[in-house]
Amino acid sequence: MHELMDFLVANGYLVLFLWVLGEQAGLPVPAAPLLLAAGALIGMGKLSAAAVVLLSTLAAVAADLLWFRLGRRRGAKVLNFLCKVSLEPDSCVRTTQSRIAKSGPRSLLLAKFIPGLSTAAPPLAGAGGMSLARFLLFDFLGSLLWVGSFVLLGFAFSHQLELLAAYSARLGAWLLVLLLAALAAFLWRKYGQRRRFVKDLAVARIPAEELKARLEAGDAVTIVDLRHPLDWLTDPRTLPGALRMKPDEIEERHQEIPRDREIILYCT
Amino acid sequence: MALKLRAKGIKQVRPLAGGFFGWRDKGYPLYLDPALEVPQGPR
Repeated sequence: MHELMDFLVANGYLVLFLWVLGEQAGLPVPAAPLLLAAGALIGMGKLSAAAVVLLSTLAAVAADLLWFRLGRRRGAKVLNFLCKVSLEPDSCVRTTQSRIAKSGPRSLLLAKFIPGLSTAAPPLAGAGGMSLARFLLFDFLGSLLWVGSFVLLGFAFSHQLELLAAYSARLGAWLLVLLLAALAAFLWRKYGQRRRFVKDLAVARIPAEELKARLEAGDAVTIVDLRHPLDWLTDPRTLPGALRMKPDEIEERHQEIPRDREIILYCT
Repeated sequence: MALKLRAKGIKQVRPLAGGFFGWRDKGYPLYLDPALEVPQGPR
């Protein structure tokens, strides 16, 4: 924390802008600790509150605008890519789609506080046809809320953060090693879970060529279209004879799926 | 989803490799359901 604060004082607003821009663009550089440290530095009178909040908010909006444009141009494929590189690929797409569908532009207000949704919400808003003006309004307010919360928290606890900085300076490199080891263990566990999940699915998947051949041969298979209603915006068609079912309807409608034949599922 | 259906007793479940886009990009047949109500999206 001590080094982080020295770094921030020395390099100032440019670092903050680039860091937030990088995090929102999808780089694995968490901006929250930097915003907390910036808040603490405002409390110590070393940085300007208005400049910190404005620059960080603009950086977040600039990165989101890029994703929004990509989403508008490339549709749900951008969201699928983002979710593939996330640590929770199986729930990422569904969570994002459900939240955007449920709350519309208002979901952008709190999206930055929810892991996975933060980077995925802007491209989905673009793919879903949200107007640019509405997106900019809600994304700006959401970014302001996100930046403001962390800066305010850092400001309120600036004294404690100073003490923390002093303690961490005393512990020196050992604290850093401990934190890095904890982070590595967490990432390793998540990576293992993800690999097992992907491996299970890869074994069971049916290639498109095989499914087409089986349909042409008249094999008894039932196809279930599990795409989210927002995906129908990009293409409302289905595979031949597919039974359309929203992902959250499985609980109520699974009885409609026959048990005596192979079931082929697909989403985007 | 496949795991969820297996838990419901539907044992023969296979996800389509490449999903909808994989099928569409190969130029395989697709159908439009006239009864489908497409949402307007979060405008």
